[in-house]
Amino acid sequence: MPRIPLVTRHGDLPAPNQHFFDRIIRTRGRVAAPFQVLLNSPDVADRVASVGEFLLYDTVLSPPAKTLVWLIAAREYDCDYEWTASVRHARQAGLPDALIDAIRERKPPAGLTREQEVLVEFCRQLLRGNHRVDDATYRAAVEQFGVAATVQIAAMIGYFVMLAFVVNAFEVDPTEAESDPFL
Amino acid sequence: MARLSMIEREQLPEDQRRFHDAVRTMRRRPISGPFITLLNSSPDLAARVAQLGHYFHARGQADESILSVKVRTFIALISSRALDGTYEWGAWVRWALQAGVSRVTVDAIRERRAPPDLAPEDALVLDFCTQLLTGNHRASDATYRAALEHFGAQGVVELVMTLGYFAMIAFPLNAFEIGPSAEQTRERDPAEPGLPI
Repeated sequence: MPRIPLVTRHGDLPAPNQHFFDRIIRTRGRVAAPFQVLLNSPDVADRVASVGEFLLYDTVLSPPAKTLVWLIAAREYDCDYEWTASVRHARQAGLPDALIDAIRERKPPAGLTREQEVLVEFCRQLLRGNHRVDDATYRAAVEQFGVAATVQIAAMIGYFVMLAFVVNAFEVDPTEAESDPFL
Repeated sequence: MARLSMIEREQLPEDQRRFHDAVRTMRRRPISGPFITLLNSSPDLAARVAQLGHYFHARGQADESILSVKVRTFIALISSRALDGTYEWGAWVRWALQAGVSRVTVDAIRERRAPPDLAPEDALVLDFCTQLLTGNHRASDATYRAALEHFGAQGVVELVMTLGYFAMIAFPLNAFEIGPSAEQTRERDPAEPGLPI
């Protein structure tokens, strides 16, 4: 049970705020569960949706790369909802089950491509310990992905952590993660 | 040493300059911090993030959030400490002190100690944020209920999102080791210790 009233219909908001709901429907086709929570502060929901649209759909990262970032962030912040949705997308993008399992169990993954190896190391360093990336890993990321994409990797981690707080704080139902868009 | 430097407006293709203008308008100061990283990637993304950040910002120019400036600045400090965000700490500590967060509280957060004698509202904010940032990243029923009762549904969403926003921008800042802007360095209180990491 979510801990807060969910905004699922246009009519759930007072008239002056209904345009925020309508804009999310117009741009995304549906209001995903975390946004049903966020619409309790309608203007915030709208602005988060705008950042999310970019990071989910307009990013320069390939589907295998971006879904791997999602999995790592969801795992590190114990976000069942994000994990469920990310696994589905990661499989569609061709990520092997062994890699997904290693991320879930926080183990060192084996048999990675160079791109995956760099990505896992970069993301885990940012998310753990003192939240810094050592020079060698930073250089490897920029060499592998370029600066523009590396910025988007870091921003994407941030977006998933931000939404993990929402999902975890308000106990959003993980079964809702079966639909798209999920964040 | 920052790993990226500022992208000036004239370095962008003409059709991207409007995003630079949008960020600058919302920030109302020289562009710094997270926006240096984002403008190196996508000016469009930078403008979207600036629009979100404006909601939570606290320089007396932006009071969109229903949370008090004190609560927002306190959350910025809690997030910076937990995620080792030296840039954010440096930017926000002065505003937090101005907004009424006590010197004793600031020092305790910086040194990862429990602040003594917190007002009930501050204790609640710290407890809620700490539960989301650490351990299994869940908020207990008692803490959640207390927050909902105190801040209301919209307020508690904005509390979680203020924390989320500052956490979100910490990752690009840390990845690219972005330091304080020239303006922030000039305005910095020399007696103010930085955030140790």
